[in-house]
Amino acid sequence: MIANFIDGPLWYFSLFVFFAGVMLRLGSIIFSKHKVDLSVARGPEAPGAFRTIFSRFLPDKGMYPHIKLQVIAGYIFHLGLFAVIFFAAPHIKFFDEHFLGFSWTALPHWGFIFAAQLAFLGLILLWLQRVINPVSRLISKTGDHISSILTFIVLLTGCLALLESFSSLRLLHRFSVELFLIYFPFSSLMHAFTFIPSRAFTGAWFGRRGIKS
Amino acid sequence: MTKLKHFWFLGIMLMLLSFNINSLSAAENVQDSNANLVNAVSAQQDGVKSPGSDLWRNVRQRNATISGRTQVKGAKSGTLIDTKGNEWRKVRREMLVPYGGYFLLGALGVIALLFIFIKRQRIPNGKSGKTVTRMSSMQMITHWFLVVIVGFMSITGLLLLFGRFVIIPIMGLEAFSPIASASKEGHNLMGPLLIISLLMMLFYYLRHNFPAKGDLKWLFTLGGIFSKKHLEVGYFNAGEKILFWATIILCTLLSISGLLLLFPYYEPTIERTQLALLIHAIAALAIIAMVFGHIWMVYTVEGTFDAMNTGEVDENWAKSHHSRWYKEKTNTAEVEDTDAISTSENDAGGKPSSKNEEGAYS
Repeated sequence: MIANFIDGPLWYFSLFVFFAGVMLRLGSIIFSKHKVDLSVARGPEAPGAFRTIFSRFLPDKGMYPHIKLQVIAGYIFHLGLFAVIFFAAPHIKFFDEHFLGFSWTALPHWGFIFAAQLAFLGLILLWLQRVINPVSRLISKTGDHISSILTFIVLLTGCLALLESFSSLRLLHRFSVELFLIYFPFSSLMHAFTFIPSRAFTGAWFGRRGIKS
Repeated sequence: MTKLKHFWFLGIMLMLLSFNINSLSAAENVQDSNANLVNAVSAQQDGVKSPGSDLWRNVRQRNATISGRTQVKGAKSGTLIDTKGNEWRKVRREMLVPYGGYFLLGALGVIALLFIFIKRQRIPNGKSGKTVTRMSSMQMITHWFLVVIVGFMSITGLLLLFGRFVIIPIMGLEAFSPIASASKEGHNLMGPLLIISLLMMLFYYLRHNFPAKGDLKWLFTLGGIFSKKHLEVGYFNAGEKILFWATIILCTLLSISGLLLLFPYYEPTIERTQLALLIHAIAALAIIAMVFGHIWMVYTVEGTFDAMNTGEVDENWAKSHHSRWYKEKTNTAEVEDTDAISTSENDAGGKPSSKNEEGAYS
């Protein structure tokens, strides 16, 4: 009964909420009305936008000594998570069978384990930093903590089901993924999609004013 | 022609007779073989050795290592059955699990008694309202990272060690199977992160944990319980240093034995694998019991948790428990004589928040 619900209606509902929510959020950002900038442009916008999308992958030199942990743990976590989501053999099989109709080379088992460990390491350190550092604690909202905890639960349930021998563990993982998908569009997790337009907008603004960013 | 008929008749009769004789002799043969078997068994029981049945008996009873020759190359490929596995199973079930369980329950019992009978030690003169920075963010992150990893590893490890005997009677076999599988996968996956936390502990805490002046005095008086004089203590007292080094040693043992268990092909002898398993279990039980004690210590000395919660401790707490460090930190030699403070807590400014917090041990 519960298994059918998780594999059926709840799965489709969570996918609908995820895709509709992401489109809605992105649409509201892209098509929102901005004030027309009447100042004389001192430089082109497009190169600034393009450059900033990539330049922000590196931390500011002045800031780096103060945000070492966020930068290092941030990279460790995101790279690990990316590898786990897109290069784990069970995930590739799932994407192939349910969405794409094609597959690609998966990480070997040890590679997947290593990627998952990196993701856990980065996530735990980042969340502890959020809770412990006074400034991060002050600017963090409840939603940020929920995002971190949900991500942790999704990762954990996935790794607990690694043996792929128990339906209950698979269902637990799928249920946590569904909760994650439903929560995603309404939370700071949206930065997975918004970081590019956000950087581009800032870069274009700087470019127009002739500021190198 | 009639003579020929007689020959046919005679031939058929002879054939029938021969069949009869054959069947009779076959029956006799079976009887003979049965008798031989009975004789062989009785002879065997009388002490006459038969290599084949000895081998089978040894295999069946599994009371000896059975080895032979094989074309297959590899460690232990010539071993049919290694009885050490069975011996280890007995050690695990009959010694490790029950005595490990008693040990943990005993530790919990001792902590419960300490909670009941030892009153919470309040900050002398109450909280001053002024704080001193004691821990950096990275020190706190390191500590809590270790807590998360040790916590997760403890839960999954205890489920693996005691789950069969605790979970199955409560939840049944079907519930235990996925729990055990999940615990194993989670334990193996998170294990290597303990090494990271161990390295972080060394990096951020090592310099404060070398022996220093006053440590022996602290130990001889058990942290001031048997001393009326105020003890001059630096950043960490001797008890905290022991805790640190015990953590480092136990985590190192857990890491090395854990790696050997994670990669058994690099350690092919079963004796060493079993030794690694035994060390792993004992070190784990020891660190869990130590964590119980650590939690009690933090609870029972008011103001201590602040160091790991905000990184800031109250000045009165610092003067009372780590006066030498406080002097170094503030560059003042005006630490009040806390002899009186530590022995007259009932006169302290801050009122105890509960009866349990009244009074103190020093």
